[in-house]
Amino acid sequence: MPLSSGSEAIRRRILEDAKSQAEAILSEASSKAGELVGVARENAEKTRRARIEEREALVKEKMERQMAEANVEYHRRLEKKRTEAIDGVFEEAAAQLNAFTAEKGYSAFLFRLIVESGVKLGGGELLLQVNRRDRDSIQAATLRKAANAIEERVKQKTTLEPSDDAGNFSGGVIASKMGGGIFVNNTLEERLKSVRQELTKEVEAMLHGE
Amino acid sequence: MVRDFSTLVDELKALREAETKAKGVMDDAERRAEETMREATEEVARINARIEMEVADAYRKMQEGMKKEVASHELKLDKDFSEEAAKLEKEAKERTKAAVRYVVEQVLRTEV
Repeated sequence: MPLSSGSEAIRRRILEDAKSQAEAILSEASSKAGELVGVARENAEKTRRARIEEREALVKEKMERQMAEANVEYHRRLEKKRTEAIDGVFEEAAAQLNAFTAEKGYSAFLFRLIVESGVKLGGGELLLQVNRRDRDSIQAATLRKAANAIEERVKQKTTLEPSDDAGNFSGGVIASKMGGGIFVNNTLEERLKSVRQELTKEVEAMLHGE
Repeated sequence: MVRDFSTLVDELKALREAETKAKGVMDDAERRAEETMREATEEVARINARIEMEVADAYRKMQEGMKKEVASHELKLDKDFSEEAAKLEKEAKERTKAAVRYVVEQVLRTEV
């Protein structure tokens, strides 16, 4: 049975309102969803850029550090090579000096070392420490001659007495004022050490042309 | 009057049905709206997950690139070192004798 026109209008209105509200609900949901996804995309892109930049900086820093470490290691290895070459020179020099103590010219050299040490000490009563071999071979006449040579240079009466204690070195002498205190270490080892301190740069330049 | 009352009941019935139908339309819209929001939330999660993956992938590639660059740099340094060390050894070999002679001379040189 058909409805009266009034009731039909109400019924249509109810359905139209419902349809209209449903469309509004769906439209709002769609809009919210779109906004949610849009904001998420925007934020995600920002986050992505920020994180990648952050990681790029980290990786760059790490890479630069590793390369710098590699550079340091490279220079350390080269320096070691240079030092080894210099060590080789001084080791060979030590061996040749050691061999020299068995040669003929060594006695004259020891004589000069004794005189040089005595002059440095200003003469006087001096005690000479040499190694066992030199102590056994050095002659009283040689010591007198050396004492005279010192006296001539420093104008001071000089006596030289060998020490009872043999020195533990390859050659040369340790001279000291009688009674202790002042001494001159003129052993081959000490002279080589001193030359090394003074001439390392020079030797390096000789070896590597720097 | 009887006929009018019956008509009224029918009309009320028709209006109630319209209300029920309207409620159904609204409920359906609510469900679809919720579904839309749920899908949007899932999409956001997918976007975030994709970004995490992209960042992780980019980081992995950066690290691989870095490792390659560092390895290449180290390789070059090794090569440079070998060449430089060989040069130093050759120079030292040629010049050691003279240097030793010079050092020995300095040690043997006295002031008297």
